[in-house]
Parts: sequence; C-alpha cells; structure tokens
Amino acid sequence: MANNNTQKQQAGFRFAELIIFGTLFLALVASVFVLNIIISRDSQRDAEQVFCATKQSEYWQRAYRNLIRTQERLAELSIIDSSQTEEIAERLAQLENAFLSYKSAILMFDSTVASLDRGGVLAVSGVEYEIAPVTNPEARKTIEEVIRKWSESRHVLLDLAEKTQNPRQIDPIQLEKAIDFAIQNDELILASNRDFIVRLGELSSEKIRNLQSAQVVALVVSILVFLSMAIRLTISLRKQAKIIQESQSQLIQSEKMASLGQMVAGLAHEMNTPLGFVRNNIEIIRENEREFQEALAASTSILKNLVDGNYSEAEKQIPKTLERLKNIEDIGLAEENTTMINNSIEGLDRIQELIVNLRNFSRLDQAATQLANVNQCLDSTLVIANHILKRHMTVVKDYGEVPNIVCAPAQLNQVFLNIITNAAHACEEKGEGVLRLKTFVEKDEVVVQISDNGKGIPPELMNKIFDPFFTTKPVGKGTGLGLSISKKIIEDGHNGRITVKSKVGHGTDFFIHLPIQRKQEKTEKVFSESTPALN
Amino acid sequence: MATEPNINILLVDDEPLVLQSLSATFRRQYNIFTATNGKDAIEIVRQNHIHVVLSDQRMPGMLGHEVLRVIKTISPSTIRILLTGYSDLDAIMNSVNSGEVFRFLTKPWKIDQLRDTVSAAVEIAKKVGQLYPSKADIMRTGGAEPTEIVEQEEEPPPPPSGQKEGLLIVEFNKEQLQTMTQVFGKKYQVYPAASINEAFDQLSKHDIYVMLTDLNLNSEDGIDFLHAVKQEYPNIVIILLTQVRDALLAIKSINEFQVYRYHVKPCAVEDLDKTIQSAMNRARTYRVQPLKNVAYVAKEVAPKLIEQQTTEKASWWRDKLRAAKKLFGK
Repeated sequence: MANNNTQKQQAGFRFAELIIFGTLFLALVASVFVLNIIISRDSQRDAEQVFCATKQSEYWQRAYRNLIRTQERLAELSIIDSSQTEEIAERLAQLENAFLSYKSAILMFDSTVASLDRGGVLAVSGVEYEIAPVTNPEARKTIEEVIRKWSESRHVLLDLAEKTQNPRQIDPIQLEKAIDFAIQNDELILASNRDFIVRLGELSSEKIRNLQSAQVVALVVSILVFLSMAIRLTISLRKQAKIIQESQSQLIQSEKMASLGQMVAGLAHEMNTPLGFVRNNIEIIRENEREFQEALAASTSILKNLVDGNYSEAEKQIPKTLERLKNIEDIGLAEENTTMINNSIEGLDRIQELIVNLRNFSRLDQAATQLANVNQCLDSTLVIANHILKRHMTVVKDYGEVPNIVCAPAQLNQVFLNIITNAAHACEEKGEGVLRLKTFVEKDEVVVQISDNGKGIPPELMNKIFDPFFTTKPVGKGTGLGLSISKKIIEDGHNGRITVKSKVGHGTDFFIHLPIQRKQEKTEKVFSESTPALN
Repeated sequence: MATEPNINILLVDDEPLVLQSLSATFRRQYNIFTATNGKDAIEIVRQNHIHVVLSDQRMPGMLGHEVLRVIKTISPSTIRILLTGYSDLDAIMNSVNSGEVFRFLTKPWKIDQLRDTVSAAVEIAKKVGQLYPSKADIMRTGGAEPTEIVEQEEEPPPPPSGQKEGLLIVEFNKEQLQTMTQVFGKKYQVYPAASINEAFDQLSKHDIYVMLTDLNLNSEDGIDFLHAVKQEYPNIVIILLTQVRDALLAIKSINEFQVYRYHVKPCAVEDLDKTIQSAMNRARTYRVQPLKNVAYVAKEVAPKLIEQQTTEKASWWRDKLRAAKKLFGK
C-alpha cells in the first residue's frame, strides 16, 4: 500500500516535471520566434527610415537646386529686354517650372523631416510609407541639429513656397532669406543625412547581430532543455518499466498463490471424502473385530474345555457362544468387514491417485520444461478441477493423437485450470453445462480447444478479457489476472497463441495453439564461461 | 447400542462408498435409506417418514443445503444434519440462513461424534414428531395415493397486546449500539448492552425474545456465553450481526447456539428489520409450542450431546445465569 502510494507520488512528480520541461521548451522556441519577428519588424522600420532619409536628401537637393534656379531665372528676367517677348515667355516658363519643383520638393522635404522626428506617413509618387519616429538616441543625435535648424527656418522656406501665387512676384527678401538658409545649411543637411544613414545602418546591423545571438542562445538552450527532458523521461520510463516489471512479477506470484489455493481447496475436498469413509470404515472394522475377538475367545474356551475333558463346563458355554456366532453371521459381520476393508483400500488408492495427480499437476519434482503430452496435462487438471465441475458440469473428452511437445507442464496446467474454472463459472447460472476438451494437430501446432455452453462473453468485453485485473466476478472472487497470465504463459513462455470465440447465451471456445517444434532459445554450451581456463 | 428398527434415517451422498460406510455405521441401530442425489432424497422423504437426514453438501445437481431446505418444507419434523467436506463459505452461509440445520459435521468425521449427533437427532425427532401427524398414519388412511404434506408456515401467535417484545442488542461499538437502539426502539423494547456483562445483566432482569448480537465470537468468551444463554433461555432467538464472513464461525454458531440468522455488517436496515420481525414470530411460536424449538427439545432429550459441547467457561456462565434467574425470577 505504502509502496503504491510512493509510486503514485513519483508518477505525479514526473508529470509535473514533464510539464515544466515542456513549458520551458515551448517558451524558448516561442522566444526565438518573437525575436525573429522583432528583428524583421525593426529592420523593416530601419529600412523605411533609411528610405525616408534618402528621400530627404534627394528632395533637399532638388529644392536647393530649384531655389537657386528660381533666383537665376528671376535675375535673368529682370535684365532681359521687355521687347524680347519670346525669350521672356521661355524664361517665365522656366521660372515657373523651377519654382513648382522647388515647392513640391520643399514640402516633401518638410514631411520627411517631420516623419523622422515624430513619425508619420510619407507619400512618394502615390505610395504611402508609414515612417516610425527615430527613437534611438545615437541615430537621433545625427539628425537633431537639422531638425532644430529646420524648425527655426522652415516657415521662411515654406511661406515662400505656399504664399507665392505667381513666381514672378516672389518676395525678393524672402527669397534671399531662403537662399541664405539653403546655402548655409546645405552642407549640414547633406552631411547629417549621410551620417544618419550610416549610423542607422550600423545600429541596425548591431541590433540584428545582438538579436541573432539571442536567437542562437535561445535555440541552444531549448535544444538542451529538450535533450535533458528526453534523458529524464528515458530514465523515469526505465524506472517505471522496472517498477511495473516488479509489480507484475508480484502479481504473477499472487496469481500463482491464488491458483495454488484453488488447487488446495479442490484437493482438500477430494481428499476429505475418501479420508472420511476410510476412517469410518476402520472404526467399524475395529468394532466388528471386537465381536470377532469375543466370539473367538468363547470358542477357544469351549475347545479348551473339550480337550481338557471339562464337558459340563463346555456344555454350559456352547449355547451362548453359538448364539453369538449366529448373531455374527446374521448381521453379516464377516462380509461387512470384507466390504469395509475393500472399500478402504479403494479409498486409499484414490488418495494415492490424488497425490500422484497433484505431483503431475504441479510437477514439483520434475524439470520445468520438458516433453509432455497435453492430453495428460488436461487429465491431471481435470482431477484438480473436479470439485468445481462435479456439481453441474458434464465433461466430454475428445482427445486426438497429439505429439509430445516441449513445454512447461505446470504452467500449462495453470492455464487449463484457469480456463476450465471460468467455463464452470460460465455455466453456473444455467445449473448444468457441458465442458468439451478437444485436442488436435493443425499444421505445425498442437491445438487445445476448451469449450463450454455457458453464458458466453459479450462482444464489448471480448477485447478486455485478457487485460490484467479485468474480472466480472465479485470482489474477492477473482483476481482478474487468470487470463492475462494465461496469455503470458502461452505467448511468452511457449511461443503459442490463445484465441477466443464466444457467443452470448451459447458458450465460449478457447483455442490454445502450441507449436510442436520450439525455437531453440539458447545455444547449448558445455561451459558457462566463454573461454574456460584451467589452472 | 439400542436397536430402533422403526427409526428411519436417510443418508444422502453422491459417493457410494461413503454411503456404504455410513450405512454400516447405523444399519444395526436404525432403518437406513440412501440416496445419491437430492432428487432421490426428496422423493424418499415424500414416500417415507424420515426421522433424521444426513446429507453431504457438495453433490451434482442440488447442493446439500438446498435438499435440506426442501425436506424441511415437506417434512418439518425431520431433523437435518449437513455433512461438509470442503468448507465452502457461501454454501454454509446459505444453509445457516435458509436450511435451519440442526448440526454441521465436517469431513473427515469421528464415528463417536457422528453417532452421538445422530442419536441426539433421533431423540429430538421422536419428540418433535409428536407435533405432526405421522406419515405412516396418513398413508394408511389416505389410501393408495401418497398424500403430500407440505407444511404451511403456521400463523405465529399474535404479539402480546399492550407491551413491546424485548430485543437485546449486544454491540461493543457504543455509536452503533446507540444507532440501532434508536432505529429499533420504536417497534420493540430495546435493551442495549455494550459488553458481555451488561448483556448478562439485561438477560437476568428482563424478558428477552430476540437477541441481536455482535459478540466477538472468535474469542471463546462470546461463543461460550451464547452457548450458555441458549441453554438457559432456549426460547431466545439469536441473530448474529458481525463484520466477518467466516464459515467456521457460522458452523460454530449453528452447532453451539443454533443461530437463527447470520448477518454481515453493513447490512440494509430493511433486511435486518425483516429478520428481527421473523425472529420475533419465531420466538413467540417457541413460547407457545416449545416442541418446535430444536434447541429446547435437544436440551430436554439429548442433554448428553449438549453437555459434551459445554466448555468450562460456558458452564460457569450457565451457572451464573441460572443463579441470576433464580434471584430475579425471570
């Protein structure tokens, strides 16, 4: 019981351990995935920021170029003669063109700066890009000055772009201011932009490296966890297998004891009957013998008196003795004694036969594995099972000519007793039944068929009957091990098969197939050691 | 050995050699009938006036206790003895509770014990036979067709009006004792006892009909006490309520104090109530017709057999009970 409890605890502990291992393993694998996602998301973000920065420098250059061009065209316009209308128109178109380019470029530039600073949507040729704000302090440092300078002066450049309806009427002061800013900061903007892109690239590859190494670590740890889980499981499975094996051998032992008990019970009953009447007979013989003795003594006395010549004494004794002798004859004491003695001898023979059968059944004095005939095994089992069968079963033997096989007869007897007992129980409700024992040879097997016409096995129980502890008998009646051990004995011990056919209400047939030729299990050796050494 | 050729004894065993041996034992004393199975035995009881039947328990077809149960209904005056070899628990329990067997004998038996038991049974049968019309008489007057008398369980005398019948409950577990006292207190006058000594007190002071007891019968004390009780108060019907299903115990309780029922704890209240009720009926019958009480008749006609079973301790209890009875006049 205590043993059982600790086993349960151990099993519970192992289960908890398994859960811990499993969770750990899964968490690690999940973290690798999460890291992966983070990496890809970060690098996408970085790529977008780089894209944004690239666009920024592109737009800045365009804006700068067009601003200068706008100024140039304006200057050209101011010096061109108003008569040269054609040229004026051309210059005007160029001015317009340059200014529009500047306008769109400077707006885009503004939006890239804002996007990098605070995040936002950048629309480039109809495609919108979601740009995350630059949060990394190192990367931010490179663009901070541009952002500061731009936020101070952006209104000058933007106002110029937005408020001017006609490029010809550009406010020259504003234009001057814008050009001043552009010229002063062109270098700074381009340089910081370059720095930013480089910095970001460095940072992102550093981050990716870190994340990748974290990934590698997580993978390695998860593999380790998996390995240790596998090792722990193997160890505990081994242990469990050992425990199961031990408890199984215990169970087999207890089943052996149970069938021994069954055997003893049967034997006790079979023994008690002859013992009972033999004992009684001998007591009767003793009583009768007393009367014989008395008659003999009286007769001897008469004879002695006659020899001695004491006729009167003899004459006195004769009538009484005659009556005594007549009484003995009337009652038939002599015949009774003969009968009692003969019966007693028969009873003793029967006891002897039982003992021989017991020996045959258990084969205690013989080798475990030997050549034996299943018919004989069945016969000795029937004697042991007689007390179970006698009340309500008719036994029909249909033995065929079967060759002797190498087997463990004591174990086979245990199997037969199990199945025969079940057959007897199956017919109990009916009150009477027929037990058929049939043996025959089929191909290279000896088949023992044990059939009854009892209540049968319901189909839903059919695949359970060989399970350990499965029993339909009330608690305390059957161990539920009989058939599972029988199967083990036949399949593992004899390389045989055991099959069942049953129909509810009609009966059950057990077929035990035993190979005639057994596979040589071990090569026989003369010496127990591989290379014997003598000194 | 007095020969009584008009006493009929029926021996039932499926083993012919046992029958021969038993016949040889009794043939000079009594008239012997033999049967090798229950069916034949029942037929013989139908045809003849059998005083004592001695049956084996394990036989093909009907089991011994079943045969005895049928015989009891056909011929209630026949005293039934069961011979059992293999102590089959269920069979013995069944026979205790259904067959009302006079004695159990176990194989192998001793010839003296067998003879004593059978001759005591014969004496009882002769006495009990006075209650029932002789079969021979019936057959003589009834013509060629053998009439069958199946005893109808006679109506037991009605319970005494106005007063409840005494039920003595012996139980060592105080809690269980209290529960049972409560449950049965409504119908009967319950006298609880938590020890043998208390039971002794209650027995001496009150009029007990039925005794429901869980004495520790494995200790000789319990058996001895009940043996003494049954001798001094043969009319008390004893019901055993115990935790152990023990065949040996069941055999002892039949042989020593003619236990009426053997109940195994825990049992349903309804079952126990039914048993107590039928035990009460039985107890009332005993008071009116003591000849129906085998224990009483056995004490009257076969004191030798009883005396053999009485141990020192039992006789000490008996003397004590006797003295108490004198003192309290119950």
